[in-house]
Parts: sequence; structure tokens; C-alpha cells
Amino acid sequence: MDFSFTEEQELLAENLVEFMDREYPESLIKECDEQKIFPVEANKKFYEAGFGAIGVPEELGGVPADMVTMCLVTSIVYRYSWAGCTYSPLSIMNAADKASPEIRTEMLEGLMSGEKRHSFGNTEPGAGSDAAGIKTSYKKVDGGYVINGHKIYNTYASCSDYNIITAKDPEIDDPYKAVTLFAIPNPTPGMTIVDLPTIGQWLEPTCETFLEDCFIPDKYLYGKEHGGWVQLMKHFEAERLLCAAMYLGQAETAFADLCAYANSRIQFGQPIGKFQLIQEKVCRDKIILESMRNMVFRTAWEYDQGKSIRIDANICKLLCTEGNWQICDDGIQILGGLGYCTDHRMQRLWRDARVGRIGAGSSEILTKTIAKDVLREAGQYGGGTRALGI
Amino acid sequence: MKVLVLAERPGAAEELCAGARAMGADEVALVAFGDMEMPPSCADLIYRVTVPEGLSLDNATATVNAIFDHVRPDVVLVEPTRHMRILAGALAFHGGTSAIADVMELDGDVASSMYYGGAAILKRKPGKTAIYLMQPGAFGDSVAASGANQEEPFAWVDPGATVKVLSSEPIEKSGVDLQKADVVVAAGRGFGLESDLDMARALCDKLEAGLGCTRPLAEDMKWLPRETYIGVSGLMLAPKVYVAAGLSGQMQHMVGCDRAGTIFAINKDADAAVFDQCDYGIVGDIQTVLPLLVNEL
Amino acid sequence: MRIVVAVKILPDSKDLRAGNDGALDFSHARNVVSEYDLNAIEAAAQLAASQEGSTVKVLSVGPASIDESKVKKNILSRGVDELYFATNDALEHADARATAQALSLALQDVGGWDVVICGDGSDDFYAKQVDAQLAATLNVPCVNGATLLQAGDGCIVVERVLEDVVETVEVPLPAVISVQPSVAVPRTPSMKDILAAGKKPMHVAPLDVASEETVEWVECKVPEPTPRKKQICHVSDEGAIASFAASLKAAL
Repeated sequence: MDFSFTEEQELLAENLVEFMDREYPESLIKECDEQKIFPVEANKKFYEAGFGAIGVPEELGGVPADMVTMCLVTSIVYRYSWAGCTYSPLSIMNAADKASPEIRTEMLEGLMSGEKRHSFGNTEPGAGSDAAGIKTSYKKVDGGYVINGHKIYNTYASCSDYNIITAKDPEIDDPYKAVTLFAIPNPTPGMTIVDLPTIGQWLEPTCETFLEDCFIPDKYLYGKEHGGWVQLMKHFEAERLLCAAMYLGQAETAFADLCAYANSRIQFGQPIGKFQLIQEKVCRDKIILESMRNMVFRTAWEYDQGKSIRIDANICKLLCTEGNWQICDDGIQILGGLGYCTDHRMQRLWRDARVGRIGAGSSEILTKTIAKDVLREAGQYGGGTRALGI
Repeated sequence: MKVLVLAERPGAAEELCAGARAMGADEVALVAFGDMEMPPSCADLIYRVTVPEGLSLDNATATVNAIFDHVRPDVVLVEPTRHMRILAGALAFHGGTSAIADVMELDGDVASSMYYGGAAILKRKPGKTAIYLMQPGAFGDSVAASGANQEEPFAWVDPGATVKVLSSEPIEKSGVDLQKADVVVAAGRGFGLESDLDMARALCDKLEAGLGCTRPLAEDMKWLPRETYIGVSGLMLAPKVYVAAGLSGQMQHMVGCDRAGTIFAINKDADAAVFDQCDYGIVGDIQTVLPLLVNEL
Repeated sequence: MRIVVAVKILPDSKDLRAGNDGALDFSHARNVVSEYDLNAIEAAAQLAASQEGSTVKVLSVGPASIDESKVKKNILSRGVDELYFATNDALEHADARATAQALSLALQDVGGWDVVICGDGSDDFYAKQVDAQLAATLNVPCVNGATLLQAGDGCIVVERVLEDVVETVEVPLPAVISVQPSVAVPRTPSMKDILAAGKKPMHVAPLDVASEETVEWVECKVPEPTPRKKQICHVSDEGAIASFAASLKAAL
């Protein structure tokens, strides 16, 4: 069992850390958070330096990389900010798969240069965890489609270049065969996007999209008609794993900050890290953090070996979002008054961490799914410990 | 003991010649380049070297080696300028040794200099020929230079392939010589805007201080002249009073002011390393503290 | 132009600690390229890019421990064509003379060259002496403090910022030129560069060197911190500014 990164991965990580230290200093992220803006220039530099191409196939102008490398890059990037960088090789691969020939080149160029960005919306007021329950519908008309519906918690939609949404063909009853994806250019008449005030993740807006007789030409059909559900599932597990890596990165920063404070804050004549109740938190958070790290990179390795990560990707997401929340919350507790003041970033990490337990598979849904899958697997093996593999 | 001094500026020449006397030299010879003005009673002998028109001072290697062979000194003291470093390196090769660079203190023949940017102090002894590149101020000022300044021109020795000077533009200096200033105010990255430096300048006016900075402010931001940055690759100072404003106190900077009499620090981060290395510290933003402080003074 | 960059591989200064015996503890330090040598490599890569058909080779001499695969890949990911390491454990604490002699010996294996570029100074000694010693050993001209390099016909035009003047000089080749950090900002190698680095030629060989130390080490100790009063107050504390100002006046 070899837990080491390759030399190439280590070098890449060192270069990335050096780059992020320079281009994503905390002062910049603090300012962006306060003003609720995205660090456009820093993000552009990230792509100029070639980091954005990591994990993208060579034929698209990228540098192929395994999932371990992609998780490593993602976790490092998210140490510095939540969503201050658009690194997402999977959305580039999605665009390459799904965009029509008329828009494919332009779309890929925009994504590969870091200058363009897509948002994705499935959730609706009546369809959250019940993802197939969407009501947004489309109708084929001459030369295009007319879409009607309402998307909510549509991250980044108001600033995106394409708002990719799911819509149903009302003619088809089976919800899994009725869904089609559309890439709606922003702006398009008939599409209204408003920002929703949130408690965190202020570097990217959270939005609500209204589609009223929104007409889009044929070329904006994203993938095969009626194939939306299958297409969404294509990278689903990898996306969930990379999402876990984001929360891992955030937790690494929160943990480093709380340790630094436990060592430097003097009370009753000694650093507070000498007190056992603080030590208990430090110990617990270290165990959580190492579990997150091990789980994320082991799952990435499994993915690279071509093994199924169906259960493990869900475990990663649940473990990392809950774990990150615990660490950030302990961080505020250890920092005390300073943690509650907006001058220190701990409160930002804490605010940004909270939604992790809700979005992209809530903790409750993940718990239910993991348990169901695990029990099914145990049943298949007919009891005993055989389901563990060895 | 015979000492040979290599210097290209009169101030350093005088300081090193005085240092030679402090070491107990009974004969001090100085190599003077071009028409460098000689401080009165500086050395016993002065070898005047005229660099041929259009050639850079770096070409004087062979000539300096010849002077060395002629004088046969026990010790060579060198001013640590770029030109002199080249002459010292070539001379050390000629003498079968290495020059000991950036000496902060000489105790007999044991020279102290920084190792890993001040993480450790290294004490070394020269072999058969002692060549020291001396830091300014390393000798203190207990002994004055003396000597008859007897001048002797020394013939140019052809070094072979030569480096030609195409142009030479004087660097506009900030005016204050921080090396000589009793009070130094140093600005760091806490200054977010170039215009914020006016607050530091106002403090300098009150204290009759020179304004210095950390490396990024001079090298990256280019807000202050590069000859005013303090630290391991810049100036090494020993003023009476040092005010560190808006700087975190990284070792690379602090070794440049460690010898200051009293260190004052202003930083908004209570955990900044500078507060571990100062006499008086005030936690607060420079935007708040500096105007209040100027007003109070 | 055939460019050789002479670099030093040494323990990372960021990982150094004070040992219990007052000596520097290197046990947690990994080997890295000396910081300002990265600027020299970048300057060489840019100089090579300015003249078609140029090559950049990196040469380092040191103890056998410098031969680390990751260090080599790091160097080769920075616009460098080939790498040469010549090792001998006698070079552990090599002074300027021993280093220059080892470099001049190792240069014979590197093949033809027009210029050797050095960094401003190494992280450990920062003595800025190897350039001059190497030039003397090779009997070629030496120029230091370069802030701009321009390839000319059989020469390099160098702008150098000295103490009092900015000098522009024409350096006939072959020559040794050392550069200041500001000459070029080291690149951030991309994943592509890193992957390509592993496939470039690396030549590592023991060096038969009879280098003797000409300077004797007496002691190397972590200095005791200068005792300071450490009287810290917060700007919002009652009378903080007044007492800070009073201490400042008293110290003048």
C-alpha cells in the first residue's frame, strides 16, 4: 500500500501553492468576500499558468491527469477561497461532449481560457433532492425550442455565459426519459435571473432563474434530446468526489488556522493549546481531517483503477462536508471572539462550509443512499465480511 | 603585519584602512582606482590604478593580482561592492584560497558572517592568505586611519579578454544614507497604497529619520529606491532607533536591523513575528497609528 | 548560444530549525534549488528564447545527496534542455574556490559553452564569490549584478545595477555572468512542463575532485536572539499612543 504522491504531483502541488500564495492572497479573497465579487484577474492567471487544463484530454488542448491529481489540485485551490477559481476539468469535458458543433469551439475556448463560465440549474421550488420532479418544460418549435419554468439556488447563473438547465418534454411520462439539457446564453430574452441573498459563498452569486416563453435556437440544445438524465449521470460520481475535495481543501485551511491560534493565544500565562478542552477539539479535528484526506485520495485512486466509486463518492461528500463543518465550527470556538469577528477568515470559512451539508446531495439523502447501497451489497454477498473485498 | 585594502569609494577606503590599524597593521597599502579622492592620512602606501578608457573596473583582476604579488600582504580587506567582489574572487583564486564574504566581526583572524541569511552565525578562519569582504561598520570606530598617503602609480596589466563599458548612468539617490542614519523608519507590506507612504514620511520628518523598506516594496512594488531596502540581500543597519511599520518581521528582513539600539514595531496583526523582536510594539493599523503618533510627537 | 547555468542544490532554508546543541538542524530540510538560482535559470531560458538554436544546460556540483529525482525534474521543467550533476561528498561544505574548481572540471563533460550564468548568491553563504572564482579558473571575463541580458554578436550586452551607477557593458564570450534576482521572475511550470521534464536528458556522474578546503570552519551556531523588552500594547488601550511616543522620544 503506497500512499505517496508521485514526484510530478508533488512538483505540481508545490508550484500551485506558490502560484496561489502569490495570486490569491487572503487580502484579495477578504475583499472579494466583502464586496461579493469574483476574482476575475486571478482566475484568468490560473488558466494562463496552465493549471486550468489539468485533467482535460489532450485533444481539447489539455494535459491529461488522473483523478488523484485532479483532487489534489482542487483541494489546494479551495484552501485559498471558496469558488474563487473556476477550476473544473469536468465541465470542459461536458462541453466537449454535449455542445453542438456550431457553439462547441467558442464554448471550449471560453472555458479553457478561464474567461467564460457556465452555471447549472436543475433544482426548482418543487424539485430539490427529488431531482426528477422538475416542472420546467420545453416545446420544439420551428428553428428552436421554447422553454418555460423556474430554477432556484442556481449558483453563479447571473454572471455565467451559459446557464445550463434541465427541462422536460411534457409529451413523455417517464421522468428519466423526458429530460433534455439546454445551454441558454446569458442574456436571452425570456430568461430573467435574480440574485438571492445568502449567508455564505459570496464570491459567486446564488440565483433564481425565470424562464417565460424563452426561445433559443436549435444550436443551444446541449447533448441529445431526451438524453439529459443519462448525460447528467455520466460524470456524476467524479463530480461528487471533486466536490468532496473542495471541502477537504477548506478544512485544511480552517485546521491550520485553529492550530496556529491554539499555539499563539496566551491565557492564564500559557498558550490555550495547553488546555485539555482545546486539545480535545484539536485531536478530534485532526482525526476528521486525516479521515477526509484518506477517503478522498483512496476513492480517487479507486476511480483511476477503474473501480466503482458509487458508494465511496457519496461517503466522501458526506464525510467532507460534515467534517469541514465540524472543523470550521471548532475553529470559531477556539478563536473565540476573534473567530466571531469578520476581520478573521474563520467566520467566512464557517459560512461557506454550511451549505456543503445541503447542496449537491444533502447529508440526509446521502446517508439514506449510502445505507441502502451498503445493505444491498451486504445482502448480495450473503452476510459475513465478504462485502469488504478481502 | 601588512594589510592591503581594496575599495572603490573613499568612505569605505578610510573605514577599512582604519580597520587595518585596529587589527594591528604596521603597514597599510591601499589600491585606489581612477581618480578616487583620497581621505587625508589614510594609508601608508597608495597604489593608483588607472583603468584604460572604455573598460570596466572588473578588468582590473590581473593588475590587482600583480599588486598583491608586489606587496605580499598578510591580510586583504575588501569593500563589498559588486566590482570589488569580482576582484576579490579573482585574487582569491590567484592566492589559492577563498575570500570570506560579508564579515560582520573579526576576532583575531576568525571572521563571523551570516549563514543561511542569519539563521546561524558562521565563524571561519582563513588559510594561508586572508581575504575578507568587510561589512560596513564591522570595525567600529575606535581607531582612526593614519599614514602618509604616499602615492605610487601601478601599471595596468592586460587581463586578456575585456569587458567594455557602453554607458554608465549615476543612480539618483534618495538623499538619506540609511547606513549613517541614527533613526530609520522601515515600511512593509502593511502599506497597501504608495500614497500611504506619506504617513511614514511624516513620521520621518518628526524623527529626522531615513525611510527604508522591506524587499517587496523596493523590488516588486518599486515604490522606494532599491538602495533603501533592509535585509539579508539589502542593507544591514545598526541605527539607534528603528521603527518597523507595517512589516511582519520575517527573518530575512530582521537580520538587517537586529543590531539597532531600540526597535519599535507597528502592526495590525498581534501575532506578527516582529512583536517578538521589538522593544516597544503597538498593535494597530498603520492608517490609525501613524497619524496619531505623528500628532503626539 | 550555448548557455550553462551553474546552480546550487542545498537544504531548504524554510525547513531549518535550531537544534538543541545550538547548531542548525537540517534533519527536516529537503533539498531544493537555491532560491536565486531559479532566477538565473529563468534568465537563461529567456536569453535562449531570444536567439534561435540556443541551448540551456544546468550544471550543479555537490555531495551525492543532491541527486534527487524531484529536484532534477523541477529544474528541467523550467525551460532547461539538459541537466548535469557532478557529485562528490567532499563538496558538502565546499567554499567558493572548491566549488569553482569542481564546476570547471564538470564543465568539461558538459561540452561546448558560450556563457555560464550564475545566480546572485546561494541561500547558505550568499558570498557572491563562485562567479568570480569560476571565471578566474576558466580564464574568462566575469560580470556580476546583471539585471538585463541581451544576446549580441559574440557577446552579451549586460545592464547591471551597481551601488552608485547603472552600467551597461559588453561582455565578450566565453564569459561568466551572474544575475540579480530582478533579472527575471521564475516561471510557474505547468503540468505539461513537469511531465516533459522527466523525459529530458539527465547526466549524473561522480566527480573526481581533489578539492581542499582553503577556509577552516571554527563554529556554526544559531545566534541567541538579541534581548528585547517586548512591551506590546494595543492602539485602543488607554494612553497607548502617548506612551509609545514617549518611549520613542526617550530612545532618540
